[in-house]
Amino acid sequence: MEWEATSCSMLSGIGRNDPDAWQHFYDRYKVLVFLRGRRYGFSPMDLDDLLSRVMGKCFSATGGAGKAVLSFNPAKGRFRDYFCRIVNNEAVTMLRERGRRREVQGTLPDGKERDFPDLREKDSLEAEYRLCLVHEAFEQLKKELPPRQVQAFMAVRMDQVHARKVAQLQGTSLATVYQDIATVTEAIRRRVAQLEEE
Amino acid sequence: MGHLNEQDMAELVFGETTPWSTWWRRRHLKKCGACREHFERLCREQEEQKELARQLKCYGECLQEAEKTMTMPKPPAAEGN
Repeated sequence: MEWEATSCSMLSGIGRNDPDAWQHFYDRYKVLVFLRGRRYGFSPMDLDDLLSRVMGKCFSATGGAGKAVLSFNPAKGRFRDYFCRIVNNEAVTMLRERGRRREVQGTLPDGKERDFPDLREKDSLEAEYRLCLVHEAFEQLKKELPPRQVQAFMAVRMDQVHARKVAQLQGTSLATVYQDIATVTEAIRRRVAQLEEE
Repeated sequence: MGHLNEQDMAELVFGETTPWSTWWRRRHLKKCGACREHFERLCREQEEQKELARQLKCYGECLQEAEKTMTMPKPPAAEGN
């Protein structure tokens, strides 16, 4: 089932035990958890553990009905702020449980200061979250935009292919290649703005 | 004085011009305010495009690493089944 990129519909789908919704949730947020965990210096095993704890924290199973209940209350703020707070809290909890107090406090065992991310460092959280939104926006647009435009953007900007070569392969001009790239960029920007509103 | 057209601008922005053409076009940009403004706008757009591409590549690299190490947990409701 194709999920609309609305947090509410995805989250309510998880509440109904829809495996597609759960997959979508995981696909959207796993890199964010990975990035946060890596900033805390977690090992690969720790990252897996962190992900499980974060997902478990977001949803709690009721007893009798056996359905997942979302802990998030939209009236209290944005989902992304709620989610990022959970990721940070779980990461710090794990560090404490593993006895790595010095890392939580910002110093390493040898006494040197560590460049430890401030838990309240909003800018880095926003940047990491935006990274996920940019990816999701582009994945959606790849299916919607003309292939020629997407190919021009990917070839020139991501794969560093010479624009003239792309124009030759596509049978167009440099001006068209530039316009195609500009169109894709604008579309990504608009879609990210839409996703940020959710 | 003629203005640079879209093709001229694209070639200049992409760096796909001969040294002589580059020199001539840059000389024109010094003299023509409209073309200079247009060129500067295209350069800013190009920087934004590169930044977006960089973010997408960064995400792709993180995704590859994440998929090596992370497995999808079971939904909480499924655990009781």
